[in-house]
Amino acid sequence: MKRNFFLLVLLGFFVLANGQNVINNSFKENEKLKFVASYYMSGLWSDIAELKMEVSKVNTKNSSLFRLKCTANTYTSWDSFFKIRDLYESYVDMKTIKPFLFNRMIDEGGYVKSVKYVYKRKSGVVEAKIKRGNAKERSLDVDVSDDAYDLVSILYYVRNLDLDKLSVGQEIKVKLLVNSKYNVNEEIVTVKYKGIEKIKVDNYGKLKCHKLSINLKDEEVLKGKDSNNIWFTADENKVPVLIKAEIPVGSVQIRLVEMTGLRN
Amino acid sequence: MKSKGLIKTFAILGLVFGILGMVLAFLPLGLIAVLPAGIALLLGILAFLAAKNVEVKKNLILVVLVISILGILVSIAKTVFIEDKVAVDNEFYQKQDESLDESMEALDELSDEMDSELEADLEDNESK
Repeated sequence: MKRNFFLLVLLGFFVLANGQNVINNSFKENEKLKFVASYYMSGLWSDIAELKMEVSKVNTKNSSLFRLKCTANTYTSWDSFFKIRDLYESYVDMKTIKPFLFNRMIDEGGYVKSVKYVYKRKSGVVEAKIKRGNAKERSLDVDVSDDAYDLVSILYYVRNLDLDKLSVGQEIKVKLLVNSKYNVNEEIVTVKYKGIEKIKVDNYGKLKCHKLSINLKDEEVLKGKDSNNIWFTADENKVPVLIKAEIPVGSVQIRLVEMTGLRN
Repeated sequence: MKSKGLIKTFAILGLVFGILGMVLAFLPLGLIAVLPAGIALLLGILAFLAAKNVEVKKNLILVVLVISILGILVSIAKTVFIEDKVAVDNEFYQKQDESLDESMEALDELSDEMDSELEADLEDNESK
C-alpha cells in the first residue's frame, strides 16, 4: 500500500479558485462527515478504512478559530496487515477559512511522519517542522502566497466557492502547500469543472452533485489527467460525497456514508 | 490409465485452488476467495464424475470438495455477518488531544499576529 494514503485521499478533495477570498457559509461548528475508503484489487473493491472530517471551535487568547480535523483509521480486519492511523488538522479563521496552523501526523504500516506549518502572513512565511521516522526534526521557513492553503483548509475553502457559476470545461488553479520529504513547496492544482451528475449516496439516496476533476503535476501522488474526480452536493453545504482517484499502486474510492450538523 | 491420470490432475489442481481459496477467505479481501474456491469446486466435481466408474481412491477428491465449499462459505459468511468497524484506539485519541494542546500553545504565541490578520481579512471581504 502506498505510503501517504490519506494524503492522496485529501488531495482528491481538491479544487478551485484563483485566489478569491470567501466568506464561510457552507459549514459550521459540530459538522461531522464520515466516509468509507475502498481499494481496488484483483477485480474487486475492498473497504479498508474509515475517514472522518469534524469541525469544532477553539478559543485562543484573543480570538476563536475553527479546528478542522480529519482522521483515517483502517478497519480491524486490516489492522493486522497494514494499520493506518492518520491525523490531519487545520486551524482556520471562522469567516475567511484562512489557515493559521496545520498539523499532519501519520502512522501507516509502521511508517510515522509529522509535519507542522505555522502561517506568519505578515512576513509571508510558513514555519515548517518535519519529522520522519526516528530522524531528528527539521525546521525550515518557506515563502508562501497569502492565498496558499494546506490539504485540509483548502477543502473547506473550496466548499465556499460558487460552483454554480462555473461552466463545463472551465479550469481553475489553486495554490496548495505540498510536502515532500524535507521540502515544502507551493504547487498549483488544476481543477476542471465537469458539470452536474446524480450520485447515489449510502443512506441518502441519489443526490445532485457538482463533478470536478483534479490534476497535479506530481504523478507520484495522483496519476493521469482528468481521471481523478470528486463530487460535491449541489446545495449550499457542498458536502463532498465521492472521490475516485488513480494512485501509483491502483485505484481508490472514498464515499460519504454519514453527515450530521450541516449548516444549511 | 488415461482416465486415472486425468482424475489425478483434476484433483491436484482442485487442491491447489482450494487451498488458495481457503487462505484468501480469511484475508480481509471481500469475496475474492470465491473465484479460486469456485474453480476448485468445479475441478472437484469433474474429478468426482470422472471417477464414478473407475477404480480409484476418492479421498483426495472429497478433500477438494470439502475445502472448496468451506472456502466459499467462509468468504460469504464473513462478508454478510462481519461488519467492518474501527478499533477503539485510545493511543490515537490521546495523540489527537496532545496535538490540540500543542496547537493551542502555538496559536496563543501567534495571537498578536492573528488579530491583525483576522481584522484585515474581514475588512477585505466586507469591502468586496
